[in-house]
Amino acid sequence: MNRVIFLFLAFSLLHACSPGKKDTAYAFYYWQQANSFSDSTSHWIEGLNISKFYVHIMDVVWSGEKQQPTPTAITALSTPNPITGKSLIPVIFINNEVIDKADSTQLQELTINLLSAAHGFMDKMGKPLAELQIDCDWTAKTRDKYFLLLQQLKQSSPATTYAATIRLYPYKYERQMGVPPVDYGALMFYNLTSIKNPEEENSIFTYKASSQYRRSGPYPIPLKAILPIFGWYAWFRNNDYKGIVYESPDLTGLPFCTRISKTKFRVLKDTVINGLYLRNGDILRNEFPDTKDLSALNKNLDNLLPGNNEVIFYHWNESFLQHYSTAIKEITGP
Amino acid sequence: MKSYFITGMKAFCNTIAQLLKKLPALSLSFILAFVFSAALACGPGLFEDDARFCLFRPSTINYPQLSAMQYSQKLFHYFNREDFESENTINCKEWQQVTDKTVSYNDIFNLQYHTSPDSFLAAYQAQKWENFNGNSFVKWLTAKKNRRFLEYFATAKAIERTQDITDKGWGHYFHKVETSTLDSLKQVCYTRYKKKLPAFLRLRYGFQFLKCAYYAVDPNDQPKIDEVFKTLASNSSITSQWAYIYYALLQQENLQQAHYLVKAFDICDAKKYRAFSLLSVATLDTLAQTTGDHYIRVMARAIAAMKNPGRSLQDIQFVFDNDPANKYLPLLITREINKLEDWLYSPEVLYFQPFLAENYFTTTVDDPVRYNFEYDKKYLEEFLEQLLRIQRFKSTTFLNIAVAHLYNMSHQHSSARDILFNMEEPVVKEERISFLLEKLFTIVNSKPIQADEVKNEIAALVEKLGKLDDAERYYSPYYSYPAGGISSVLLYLSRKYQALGQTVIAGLLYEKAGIRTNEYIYPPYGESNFYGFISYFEKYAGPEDIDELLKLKHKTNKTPFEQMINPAIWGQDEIYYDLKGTLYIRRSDFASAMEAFRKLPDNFWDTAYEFKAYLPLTSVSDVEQIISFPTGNQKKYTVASKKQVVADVLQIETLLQQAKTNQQKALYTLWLANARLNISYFGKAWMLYAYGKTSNEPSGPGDSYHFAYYYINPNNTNNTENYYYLKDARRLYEQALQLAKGDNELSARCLLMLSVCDEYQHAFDPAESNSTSTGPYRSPFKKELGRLYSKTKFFETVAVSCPDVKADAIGSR
Repeated sequence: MNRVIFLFLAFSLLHACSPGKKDTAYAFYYWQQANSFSDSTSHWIEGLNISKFYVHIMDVVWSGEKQQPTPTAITALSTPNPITGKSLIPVIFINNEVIDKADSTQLQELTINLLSAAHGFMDKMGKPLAELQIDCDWTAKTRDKYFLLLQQLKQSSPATTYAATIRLYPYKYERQMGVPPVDYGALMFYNLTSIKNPEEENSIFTYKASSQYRRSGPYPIPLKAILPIFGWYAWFRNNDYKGIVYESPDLTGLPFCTRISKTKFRVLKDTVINGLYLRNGDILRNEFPDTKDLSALNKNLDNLLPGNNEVIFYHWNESFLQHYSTAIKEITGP
Repeated sequence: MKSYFITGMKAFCNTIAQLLKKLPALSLSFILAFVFSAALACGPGLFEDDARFCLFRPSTINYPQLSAMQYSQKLFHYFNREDFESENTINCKEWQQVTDKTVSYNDIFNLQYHTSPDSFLAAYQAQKWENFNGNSFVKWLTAKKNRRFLEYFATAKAIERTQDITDKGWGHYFHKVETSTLDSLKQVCYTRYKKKLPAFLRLRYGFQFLKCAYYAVDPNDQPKIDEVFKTLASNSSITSQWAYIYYALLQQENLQQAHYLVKAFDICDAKKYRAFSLLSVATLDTLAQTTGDHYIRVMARAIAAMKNPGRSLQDIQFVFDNDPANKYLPLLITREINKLEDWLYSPEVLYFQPFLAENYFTTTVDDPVRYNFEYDKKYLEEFLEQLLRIQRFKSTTFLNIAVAHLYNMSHQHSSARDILFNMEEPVVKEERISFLLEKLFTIVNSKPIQADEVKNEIAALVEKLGKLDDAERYYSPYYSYPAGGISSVLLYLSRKYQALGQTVIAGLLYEKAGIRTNEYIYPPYGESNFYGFISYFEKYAGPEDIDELLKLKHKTNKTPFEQMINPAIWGQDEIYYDLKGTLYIRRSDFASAMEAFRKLPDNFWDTAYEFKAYLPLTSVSDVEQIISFPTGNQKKYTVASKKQVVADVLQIETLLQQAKTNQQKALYTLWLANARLNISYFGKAWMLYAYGKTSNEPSGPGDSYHFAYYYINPNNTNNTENYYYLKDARRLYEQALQLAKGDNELSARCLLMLSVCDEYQHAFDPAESNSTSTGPYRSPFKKELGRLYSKTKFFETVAVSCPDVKADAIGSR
């Protein structure tokens, strides 16, 4: 009997750890504002077993001048492009200030405009609108209005599937933050801690930090997992946070800096990078998530999100893909 | 999504920073609430250039279109469009030139920029102008003789309509531009451009053609595009400026596009910033290396220098050597001076990083902060040398002031004086202001500022500056970021007086300057404010300074210098007396504190500030809130009052003096130790000592109040030994324990409190915070308590009230 239990456990464990689970789909966010593809794009898409792309089509911000929600950062993605062959889901980011300040009439107008934008984008891509994802960092204060907007969307176009992004905080603290009234949530496993803290290991993602948001029970709506495959450098001068430096995942060998620890580089000579003046002695903390941590999270997704059937990578950037290719392949499987 | 996290945080922090800037009289409860919730996360945000010191900024005063290209730490280009005439204004003025005098500028503006294409075209097509009754421009356009102008206007509005998606739903943002409509409009524009029309209309049709050609691309249009651009480029109308940008954007090849953008930058004031934004440093570098056009090469290097937050001396030398009269040289020189001010002065004057202090990350290697400081000082010398070379070529008021400034920065004050005091006071107001500011800066650096005659000289210069029309720009900390001009000099002067120990002058000057620094200090703006009146003095003054401050406040015949530093609003005397007493408490001088508090009404602390919430109503000698059962003298205060607390302490001190037995002495010493513990960061009476408290203080004594970490705690290194490190409390507990020998009950009490004190002392021990041990520090005195006094009644009570103490004492954990 004991032997049977052992074999069952071993099998379960193996199954849980095996990458590229059969019933899991893999997708990417496309967050670039225009066509940003290379000759290798199609190769990447096919090689990584990608079934769909979540395309950021615009931001909605509050216009102080007009006192109304206003679209910005509208995507200039045009056809033909290598991703239109896959399923496309438009994503709209709504700044929480919009929800906070909009009155009920403006929320109604916003509902119409969001659907109009989603349809407009999909028309441009030559596809029907089947699903819309809303990205909003709502707070306890704006919760009710935000959820009203989501309900209005559903009422206006019931046949459309709706999703909302969910940070780990509202995921864990469901009572305070509520559960968005959507068909499913996309759980963001990134931007977990304070970038300004010099003692932080990685503010974007560590497996340890994500584990702190473990729930005792299942979340009331189905969830998809968003895994970060992006990064940057947190820049410190004399322990003071100075900003974000966008550089490639590996600075090793570059003459202006030297590695002083696993994730930290010390600037050796004054250097201008992307308009930022880095001084001798400054510290750059690599915030590209560790691939081992990503694998660890992936292996535990079944425990964390029982029933999860999709992993979405944030986000499509071919230079990052190169860096994370092994980890992604391990996650998506052969 | 990722970017919004950052911008969201930044926006939140900026909002708080704005609030703090505009409402320094925010209640402490708000501040405390904010601090507790957010201090660990971020602290108040800084605007991009809040953290830099800037004194020298004369070069763009007469060239506001360049204000966005001034030096910024993070390429934050701020400029105020209201500072110069916008392209819309110029366009309307040009229209006004061709119309009758009866046509109002506002009517032109309204029709041009506040009228939707749909409403105008509807009226035009129906020839029904009722909706525009009263608009003198419409009246003029619809006159028969002006038919051609009306036709143009309708064409322009039709082109505008192809891009106008207002009221059409957001889906239209994804719709392709209506190229078929644009194509036909493009043909109309070109045909009319070729017609014999008034030059005013031809130019505008020409521009509209270029615009249509940009949106409705047709390679066959190139000859026409070149032809039209050539005509437009050679005239002085606003259409020329627009044409430059469109023509540049119509270039298919990157460097060719950059070539015309560089030209557009130079020629088109209205489109300067647009061209500047479209040019990248990499492209400019390539253009400078590859172009055969000397003018373009110089301009490319100049613009690249404007985008460089690091050293640009080589570019400046290149521009000067190749075009000594280049109109952007003053801007480039100003930018370089501002960088040097930032690198050398920001830490010294504003206390923003980098400090000349131990580097957290690099303690095991050399000191890069000091290295950079020395490296920048050498750069200052190098730059001064080059500026002198430029000045020798052509001496201008600007260059003279710039050289004088660099002399001052290099501590060559006599050379600076030689220049400034041999110069005629400039006639142009802006240059005059710069000249006077530099003179002030020279005096501050080269004369004994504590001397009365120098003080009078400073006051006279400040008064003179104040009388210049635009001086409020220099006084206001909110004019733009960073604050410049006289505010900066006053702050600099404040630091100089501070170094001389003249705290009252330094504090009042600090308030007068009103510049954000890396300290939790805000100038007072309203009578309801409390902390703002004392924030500087709380950190830097001693009790005797408060007497001097009050003396100055009530002085009737103030000298010009005293009038200059005199604040617009003083706090009530009570506020200063409270501070004076508090400063005595920090010196553990309770008798003197009482003297100061006697000047205040009994209920002062019940109504002022946030004292009521943070002063105790039970005796300061009682620590029940810590050990869960009453101890101390059990006195109750009638009202929140520092006076009653101090009276309580003084009474215990008297009892101690009168005590005959060691047992009595031990008891009163224990009470006094409890009082010291309570007046510390950990105690219930902490506001007897401090005006604010956060969960995030301190990282150590000394400079930890810098608001990059948002502390409101006092800064005096000696005094913090009691507030954070419980030096006196510890000494008194040890003394009480000695005196209690033979009385086991009392000894047990002393030992327990000694253990509490010991554990608190470890709370701020850096070695503890870095410790990898799993649990918090547990005092060995607890074990001692268990070993020696576990049979006492006191211990039995402790065992019931505090099982954790019992566990530690008898070693069960």
